[in-house]
Amino acid sequence: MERGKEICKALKEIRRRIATENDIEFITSECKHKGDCLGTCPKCEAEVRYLEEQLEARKRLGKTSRVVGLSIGLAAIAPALFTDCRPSGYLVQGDMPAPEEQTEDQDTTKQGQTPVSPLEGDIADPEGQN
Amino acid sequence: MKVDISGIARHRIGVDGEGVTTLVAFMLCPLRCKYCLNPQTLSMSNPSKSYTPEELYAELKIDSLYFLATGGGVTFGGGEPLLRAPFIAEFRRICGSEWKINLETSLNVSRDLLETAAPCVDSFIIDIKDMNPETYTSYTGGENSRVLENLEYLLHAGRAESCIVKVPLIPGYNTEAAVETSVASLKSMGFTKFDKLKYITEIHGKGKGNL
Repeated sequence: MERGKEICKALKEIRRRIATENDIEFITSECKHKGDCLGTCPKCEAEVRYLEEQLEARKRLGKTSRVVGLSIGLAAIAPALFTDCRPSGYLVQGDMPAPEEQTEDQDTTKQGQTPVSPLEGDIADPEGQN
Repeated sequence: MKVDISGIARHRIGVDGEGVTTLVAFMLCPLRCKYCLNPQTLSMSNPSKSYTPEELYAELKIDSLYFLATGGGVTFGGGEPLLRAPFIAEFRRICGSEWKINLETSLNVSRDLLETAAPCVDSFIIDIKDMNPETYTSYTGGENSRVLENLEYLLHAGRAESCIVKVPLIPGYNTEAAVETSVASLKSMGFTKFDKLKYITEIHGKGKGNL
């Protein structure tokens, strides 16, 4: 899933720039994962939480944080995600258990569709709604 | 206030709105487009999960740093997000002004819903289908009179610059010439931003059509 890898790289670069702009020590490593990538993973998420904690610590010390207005240009750091292969419209799949007839989505994912994170928790009972 | 959401897609880049966005897809739509990408949103018998605006914000704020650093935010789609305009307005109140809110909409809803949501929305991504009423009805099963009225509303509200109008080539329903005719019509109205694309007709490995 090349698109997922590209998203992962872009998000890592965003994290790196936030750290740099706020004088936060940020040590990361190249992802060695070889399989499918959704663009994030527990290690990436942990880096985000680390940045949030560091920014909060700066706030407690009375230091200003610079995140809003960084205006990180994604087209420059992830040009592969800005091609004509982008999804036509959007697709939401893999999010909820799909009805039986909607389980084969290979065609659309080949066209650059973004997989979605599963929704956790109970599935609403379809009866009695609206 | 709880609404049913078909799915949430995080970390969308270069797809629907500036920066890093999270797509939230609502259930239900007034149209029945033949090549609908998300037919699971059309029937409440399909799986979904209910959220209050507070619950949705709690779930989405995990990506707030990405939103803030890139000028991104939340894209509401579906289904037809304007059917949930009061929810969107409440969500905006909760999330504040720093996240961008985009709307992927057909605009085929009553005016009051658009009026409720419009002040809370930074960017409208409007899928116009085709400006020809017959083509529109043939493809969507609905009429486009409300769409045209709502386009006029957005223009008169000074929101043309907030609108990206998608004008698709719809295989079997219109032609490239028809797309250009629609674009010309929209330009004459006052819209300036367009996204010309070709619809995917093979979905879910099941061939053409709205399932």
